[in-house]
Amino acid sequence: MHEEGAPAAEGSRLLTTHLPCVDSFYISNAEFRPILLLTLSFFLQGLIGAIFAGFLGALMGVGGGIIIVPILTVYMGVPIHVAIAASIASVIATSNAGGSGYLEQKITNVKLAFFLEMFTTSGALIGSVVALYLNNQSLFVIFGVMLLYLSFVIFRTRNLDEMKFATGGFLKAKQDKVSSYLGLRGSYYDAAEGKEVRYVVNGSAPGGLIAFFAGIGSGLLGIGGGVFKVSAMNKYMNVPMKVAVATSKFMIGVTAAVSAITYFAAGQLDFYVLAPVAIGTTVGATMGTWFMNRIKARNLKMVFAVILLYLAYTMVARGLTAWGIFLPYLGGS
Amino acid sequence: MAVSTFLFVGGLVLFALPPVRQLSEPVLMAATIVLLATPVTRTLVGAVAFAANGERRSAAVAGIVFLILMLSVVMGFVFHLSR
Repeated sequence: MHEEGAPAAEGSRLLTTHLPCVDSFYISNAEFRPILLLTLSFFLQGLIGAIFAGFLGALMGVGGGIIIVPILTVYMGVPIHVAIAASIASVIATSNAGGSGYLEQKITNVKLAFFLEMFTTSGALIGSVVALYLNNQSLFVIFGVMLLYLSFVIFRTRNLDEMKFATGGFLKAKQDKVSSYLGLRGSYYDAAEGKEVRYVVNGSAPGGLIAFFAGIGSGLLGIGGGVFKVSAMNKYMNVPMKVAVATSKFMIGVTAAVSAITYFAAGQLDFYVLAPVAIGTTVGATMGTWFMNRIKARNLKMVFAVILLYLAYTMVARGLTAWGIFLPYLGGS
Repeated sequence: MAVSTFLFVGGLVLFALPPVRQLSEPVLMAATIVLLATPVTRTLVGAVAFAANGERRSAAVAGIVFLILMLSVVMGFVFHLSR
């Protein structure tokens, strides 16, 4: 399907773009599968973008999908449904690469991960099926609005860890019944703070609810949903930021698998888009994992919030053009 | 993870070689299947490991997650067949 000049499926319509890496593509009315002009430039852009997304994703405990989808759509001209499918599958690679590193460092809380996974996988199943019926412009706007919200949440919680480190608040919190029943507590050595941090988990109900919506977001938008889970664990469940990041990284592969399998069966997973993205995110996530426990959580959050704010704008600006609202594009094409 | 990464790289290399370009798609498909199978396996292993350690509650939780994953496979096929 990727050969230059390949015939379009019957009933398809030809779309053209002015992007240098994508000459033209057909979108089948049935399957939305594009014919992309695959060039070295295309693969390199995908690879570099994915390394960046994987690196940043590992630092923040997200799959990198919230970075890679805007890169694929805004900078490389890949249709958003295809970008979402490739992104969600690559999130599994990121989770595998980053997750194992955190397990070795004994930061991940595996019991907590499986508890929250019950809710996220349920949501992911619903979200991925809904996404199959949404049009491109709606997905752009939903994606942008979600990034805007996340940028705000991350900025607001940037000092939470330092406040709790100072007061010993992670251990002072009272466990709820579910957390106590499942034995959700733990400890890890924080290299940046230079001490052992102990904590107990609470807020199982709000945590589970947010995890469910994170799952819907994951299936709908091709993200691991890690950024929601990290915020939920850190803000509502008394989990230190780095444990939240590590646990989220462990979880997102399972969440992503639910959505990726659905997209795969629906025929929207393009192997040639996925390949450079999966390789790049694996490399980036491995690098990011190494750095994560060596820098302050506050610095992580500040940088990430600014990047998300920018990506939110670029996505919303593209989505709004369908309704005749033209905002200046700050980057991309 | 290493297997799927190796297959993805191999698939792209095959794509870059015109005489064997046709082989790239099945190789990349195999890479994708291995990738998708990894978290499913991880969850199953987790459930078994918890059970082996006598942590029945955690084993049950991991088992539920595994069942939801299996449900996604079923839903995917149902969606595909309904189109």
